[in-house]
Amino acid sequence: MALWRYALRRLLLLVPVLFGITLVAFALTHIVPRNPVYALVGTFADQRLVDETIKRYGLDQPLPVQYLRYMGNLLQGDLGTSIRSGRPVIDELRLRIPATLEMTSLALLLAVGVALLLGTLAALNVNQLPDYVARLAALVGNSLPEFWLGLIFVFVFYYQLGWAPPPIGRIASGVTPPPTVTNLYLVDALLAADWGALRSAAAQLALPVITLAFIVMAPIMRTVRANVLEVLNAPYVRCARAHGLQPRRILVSYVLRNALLSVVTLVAIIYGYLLGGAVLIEKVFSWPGLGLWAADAILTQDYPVVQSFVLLTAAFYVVVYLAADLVLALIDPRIRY
Amino acid sequence: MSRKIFVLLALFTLVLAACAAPAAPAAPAAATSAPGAAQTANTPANTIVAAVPNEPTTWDYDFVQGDLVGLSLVKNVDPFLLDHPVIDSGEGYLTLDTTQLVGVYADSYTVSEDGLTWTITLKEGMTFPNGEPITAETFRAAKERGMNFQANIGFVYGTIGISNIDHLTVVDDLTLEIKHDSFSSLQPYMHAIGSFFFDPKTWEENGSTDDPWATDWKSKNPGSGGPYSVAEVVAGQRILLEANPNWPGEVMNERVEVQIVPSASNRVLMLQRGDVDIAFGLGRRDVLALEGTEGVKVLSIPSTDAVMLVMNHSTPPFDNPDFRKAIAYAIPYEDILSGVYGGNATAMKSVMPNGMPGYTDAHWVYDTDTAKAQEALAASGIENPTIDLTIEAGVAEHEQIALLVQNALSEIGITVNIQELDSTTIAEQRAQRALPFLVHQGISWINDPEYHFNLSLAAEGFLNFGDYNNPRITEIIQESSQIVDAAERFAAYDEAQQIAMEDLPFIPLAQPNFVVAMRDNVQGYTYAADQLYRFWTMSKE
Repeated sequence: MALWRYALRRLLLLVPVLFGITLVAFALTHIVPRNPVYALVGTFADQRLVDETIKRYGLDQPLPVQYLRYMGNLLQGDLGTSIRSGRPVIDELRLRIPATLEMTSLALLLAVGVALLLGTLAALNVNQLPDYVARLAALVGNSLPEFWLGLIFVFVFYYQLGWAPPPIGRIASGVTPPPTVTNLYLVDALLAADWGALRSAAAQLALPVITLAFIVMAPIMRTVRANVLEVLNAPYVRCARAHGLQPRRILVSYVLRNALLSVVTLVAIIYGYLLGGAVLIEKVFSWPGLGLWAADAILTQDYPVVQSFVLLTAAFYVVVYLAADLVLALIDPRIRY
Repeated sequence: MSRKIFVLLALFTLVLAACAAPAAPAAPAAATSAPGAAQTANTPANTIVAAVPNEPTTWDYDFVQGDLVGLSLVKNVDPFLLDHPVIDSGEGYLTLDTTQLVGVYADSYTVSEDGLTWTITLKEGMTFPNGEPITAETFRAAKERGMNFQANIGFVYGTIGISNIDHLTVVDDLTLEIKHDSFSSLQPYMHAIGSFFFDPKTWEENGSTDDPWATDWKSKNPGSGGPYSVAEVVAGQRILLEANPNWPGEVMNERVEVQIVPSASNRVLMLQRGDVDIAFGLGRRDVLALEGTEGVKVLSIPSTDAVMLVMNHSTPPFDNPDFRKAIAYAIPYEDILSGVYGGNATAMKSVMPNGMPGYTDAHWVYDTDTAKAQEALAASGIENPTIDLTIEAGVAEHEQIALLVQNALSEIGITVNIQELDSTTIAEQRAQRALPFLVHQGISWINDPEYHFNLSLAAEGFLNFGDYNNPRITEIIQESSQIVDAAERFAAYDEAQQIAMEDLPFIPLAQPNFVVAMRDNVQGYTYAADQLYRFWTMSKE
């Protein structure tokens, strides 16, 4: 099948997938026998206010009616209103998606770069110092809880050494965020040539990105190492060496290109996970991202937010996996869809 | 088209689509600092920097509930007619004199002899920051909005006999008359709480057919006319407040920067480093651990915040008076005060908190006594009972109390199973009076026995989670509400306390001090029962 037709088919399949996700998300959020309005009216509200609030949000309607109303609004682009804040969910998403994407994308880029380097070095120097260092780094990254690592980094680099700025979110106190184009602060600061905001945004990003990168680097590095080791012993690599090809060319064109296939898939899985999985890092660094927002919504039974978050995550996974498949097709000419 | 070019184009398109999301809503006002200004290590002398755990859930004073940050921020940015005067406690903090009421945007008020009519006269020439005049009609219109929803103001006004907007009459531009269905000694308190207002242009300009009162717009946009105006909001990160030059009172600083820092440990670190001046929402242990830290001071203020063991009188075995007394005699009160609260708490020996006018410990008989506890349990006729004790998840002190109670009751033969519920579930079940035995903590915003008994001990009181009902208590509440003389009214609650200590609707455990940590150069922190952050009284040496 031509690649473009494959990509289109995958994108069209997003519709039934998301429809199924809305059913599952709606059912799961409404199954829990808990009244979400207490998060809005307070835990000491009188029953009359509780009843009026339930009515205002349509929570007194039968579940099928609530679902149909939700789907009707969704088809018009209305993701509903947060029960807790009273704000449209779509407004919140516009603020939070870029915050999370910026941090997680940079962390993943850093993690992939370091993992490729360390994993390859480790494989090329099996059972020697670079290999031990890389394996130790992977062990530490796999073992340490990310929130603990984040807190330690804050304590050491901010509190003790004063190298890092206070963990107060995306931009420092007294610095105005750059004019909004994408709401990715680094991109917007570059577009506006706002060097102060660029420096501040980069400084604020440093510690959460490094923390997250340290954690996600570990499984990627181990996969790179294992794959490179396997490919190094492949007959075509031995053949290339025998033909006298330069070691660098063998490494890049033969070894890495073949070793990266499963790494691409792993990176796609991690990227999808990070969208909502960075909640603890967001809490430690006061990052106004999706994960923290969704976690609060789950705790307070804020249905519209939870449903929107699940929908968004599903759509993101589909798009990321599609991108991964396209990259694989780019790397491996044998792949046909 | 070559495969490579197509793939690269497709990837580029996906990335562009992600970046080209519609722009986020703009912040409500321009920032006051120039772009690129660097952060200083210490906070500016004229700015109070406060770290709070969450951003406000809403800016709408009519609907904000259960969110201390939100409640505090609207208190600082929305105007109000009346307030209690701030006085020096002499203990290193300010407090409110709740026996008095002073005008803020009001010039004066008078009360008719029968106590049924309040006449409030506004100050002349007052305006919102946008130049709109503040008149009696402004206030009436603002209350009409709140009473339309029976939101916060509906409850506040309802307790003092103001059931609908027709009770408010505009006499002239500066004069407002408020009529009450009946006299209530709570009028001054409720008028202080309920005298906030907004500019009616808010819903005239931002309402719609579906939302005529602009509830959607108001939830996202702060008010104006209070001690501060909101100069900048960086969503999820910080809120910058600038002192309102037209505020008819005194603001002791030029600006307040509210930093949203969800992690409590980070708030502690930032306070220690001097990057914030005051840190709110810290756990008790975190605050007390800061005592003695260089550059930091801790205020530990006796409060009427009450921790109690509520027992549901409709649910066996708690419907048995001797069983309730057995539990009361078994509780290790001193261990709770010293072990859980480290001595930073006051003993509570009545159903009213210590410090509330009319409080007496004369009827307290339940000092810890295992022998009496066993005697009472034997008299109850209940053998080897097993009971569930509910606590709110995430409250460390309640968990410690539950463990002490479990241990103490096991010594007299009562098995206790501890169950933790999240705050939303506990609120729902508590309101349904479905929890037989729970640790509950709460503070009355109004330090008055009538308010406290009405909410917590009257049969229909919505904080009466123990389903307690004693007709004589209800009579005392009704009789005392008509007593004008305060001393006489407070004395009437002596009998009510005596009855309640015999009935035991709940077992009072302790009144933890309110604790807050700040830099040692911060002055003028105002403590009130509502625990709201009153930034306008704070300054730095």
